[in-house]
Amino acid sequence: MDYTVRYYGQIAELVDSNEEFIFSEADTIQKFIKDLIQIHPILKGKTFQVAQNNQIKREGALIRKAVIDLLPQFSGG
Amino acid sequence: MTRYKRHIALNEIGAKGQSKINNTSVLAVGIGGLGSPVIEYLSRAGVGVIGIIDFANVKLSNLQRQIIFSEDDLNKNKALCAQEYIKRINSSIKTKAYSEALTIQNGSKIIQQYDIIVDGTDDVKIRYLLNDFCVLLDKPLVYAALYKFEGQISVFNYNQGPTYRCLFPIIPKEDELPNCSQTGVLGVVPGILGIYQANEVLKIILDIGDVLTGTVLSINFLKNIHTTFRFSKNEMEVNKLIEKGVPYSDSISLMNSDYRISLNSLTIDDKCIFVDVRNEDEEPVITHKKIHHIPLGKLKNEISNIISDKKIIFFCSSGKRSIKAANFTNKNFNVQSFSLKEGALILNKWINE
Repeated sequence: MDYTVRYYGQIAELVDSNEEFIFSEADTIQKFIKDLIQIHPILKGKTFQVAQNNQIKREGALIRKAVIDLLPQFSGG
Repeated sequence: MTRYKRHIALNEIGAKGQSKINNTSVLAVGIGGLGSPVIEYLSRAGVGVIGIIDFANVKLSNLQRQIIFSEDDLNKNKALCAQEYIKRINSSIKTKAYSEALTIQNGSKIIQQYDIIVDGTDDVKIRYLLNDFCVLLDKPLVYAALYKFEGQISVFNYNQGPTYRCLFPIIPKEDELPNCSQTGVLGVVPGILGIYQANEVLKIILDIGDVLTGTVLSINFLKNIHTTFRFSKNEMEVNKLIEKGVPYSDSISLMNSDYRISLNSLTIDDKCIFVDVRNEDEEPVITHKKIHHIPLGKLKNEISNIISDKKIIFFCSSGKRSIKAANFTNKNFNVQSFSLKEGALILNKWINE
């Protein structure tokens, strides 16, 4: 199943992309993030929030064809 | 009321709404790129009482985006300059300036005096501290933060709604979060975000529209993409905080962070002294009229010799001894003291430059 993954801030810089399609057979958000880290090992140990179809949720079932967003915290002001 | 005619003409505001604005108090924490437009718009809108807290002085590099300051303000305290600025815009507003850092010691006393709190800080650790005080004191917290050309805006603890810890329960590592002085920032980005914050403040006061509670708005200013994300209240996180009754930390460094200061927010002309808490044989040896030398082991006996009305900035090689010195001094003496984030090597270079 292909998923659209969108990246923000420092995370977008790390993976050098704002948006990409990722193939995953994961059935949960946690498993999907594991797959994502395999593709982008640079994300390992980084702190970010995960949203599925614009709802922030770190755990639970992965909705088929969901849009996944990876949001880091920003500190600037 | 002539000043506010354009507000009053709006059915959603009217004279009643304007009166609500005039009778509300707002505290702006941090007067930088975000805090400047917040103060600009809230003072013009007629917010009755505006508190301003910032320990830093105005630097030349601030003027690129911190729109309420001018060259005449250089090296002066930001909170005091902001207070003067508000008086020039709207003399009917009551203001209170706090030229100090928000800390675990003073936070509760200051924040409890205001109806709405605006986060204009540039340090995630202070954001957690601010969040915790707002939850404990039941104040809405209007948040914005940025990274280069992107920003986030939300309102936390609005009618006991979701909080900053609900959105970001995990405190990131220090090196994951560079601030504007490290990454750079396009001046208009905090400007726009600060105006969004002022807008949320006015919506809260007037009870109109959809306040960004349980929602974080993410904006990419290069691509003009606005995205909203919904998030829920994490009752466990909130209850943990309420049970403790004081801001808490998952790491010692969070509680100590409010005493740390960077050379980026200082000038050599500031009303402060530097205290070297390294041992006498450590290099580089730094000499300057503003530098005193008291090894950490002797601090308890010798600190009273240097206490004055000047800020004390402790430094060492890595920041470990200096944070101990700052904690000790803040706890035992009525003086503002900080630990320098940068070590002796960088300070030496900074002084010589």
